[in-house]
Amino acid sequence: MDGIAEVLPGQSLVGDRARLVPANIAVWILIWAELTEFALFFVIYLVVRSHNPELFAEGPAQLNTLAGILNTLVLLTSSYCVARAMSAIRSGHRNLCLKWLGWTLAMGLCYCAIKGWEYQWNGAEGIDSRTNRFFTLYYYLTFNHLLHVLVGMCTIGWAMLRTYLGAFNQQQHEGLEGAACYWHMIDLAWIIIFPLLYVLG
Amino acid sequence: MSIRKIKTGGLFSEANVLMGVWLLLLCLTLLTALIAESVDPVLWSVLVVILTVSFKGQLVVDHLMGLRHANAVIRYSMLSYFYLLPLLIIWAMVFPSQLAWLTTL
Repeated sequence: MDGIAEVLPGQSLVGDRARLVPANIAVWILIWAELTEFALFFVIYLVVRSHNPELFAEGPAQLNTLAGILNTLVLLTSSYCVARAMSAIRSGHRNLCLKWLGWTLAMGLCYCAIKGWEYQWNGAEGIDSRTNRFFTLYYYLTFNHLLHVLVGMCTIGWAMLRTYLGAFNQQQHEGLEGAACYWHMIDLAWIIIFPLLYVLG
Repeated sequence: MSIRKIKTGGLFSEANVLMGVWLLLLCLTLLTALIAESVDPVLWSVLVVILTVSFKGQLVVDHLMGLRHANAVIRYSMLSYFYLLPLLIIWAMVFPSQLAWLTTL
């Protein structure tokens, strides 16, 4: 049944999804809380930047832009993988779903490796969290994001195990949907962090 | 329970749409990187970068998260993140002295 989605009789795909909350409301409260936390850090960053314009103008040039670009590409790819995993489970392809979740985890590992290389590169350049206020905020934002990636990887790993054990299928995959939404939230936060730190300063 | 099947293959299949969105997101990221490497932040580059951020956020929310046809409260609350924060960033980048004045104790 490749390329086929199943719809109950009389069900309008668009109409029903419009009434539906993907995953469950608790997941969305968590996602809103996490995004609010990141938004507060963005506001703090902008306020500190406004008081130290020269420091923040010089900051991005001292960062490893290649690491920032690679991490952005890797996270966007991981979001694509998790979207494909959801598409696979919705059409009843459990093994395909597991394959895409595996790729998502691999992308998460790539992100961690690149971030490790970036921090090591910073160390070699004599940069740490106490270098100046720009780098204090840089480390706070990126390390906080890295922790979210690690939590997301554990969540995806757990969802993968449950998918393997048969807990999720074409009709029932709420937990998997929650893990996928959380992973996308991590990507959404990085979409703002990357230009803020590495491009605009 | 009988089940009706709808075909989702073809050019605009879910898989193809997802891949198209993913490739577009990668291109937009490379555009931002090109700006980062080639020009100092000036008004037009700040606007291009922030508009790109807003657009990328909407693409992820609507297509990768699949909220385009989901509950309106959930969708718009997520989209508003990529309307409000970019506006705030543009304001803070273009008028930093105003923000510094407002936040001076």
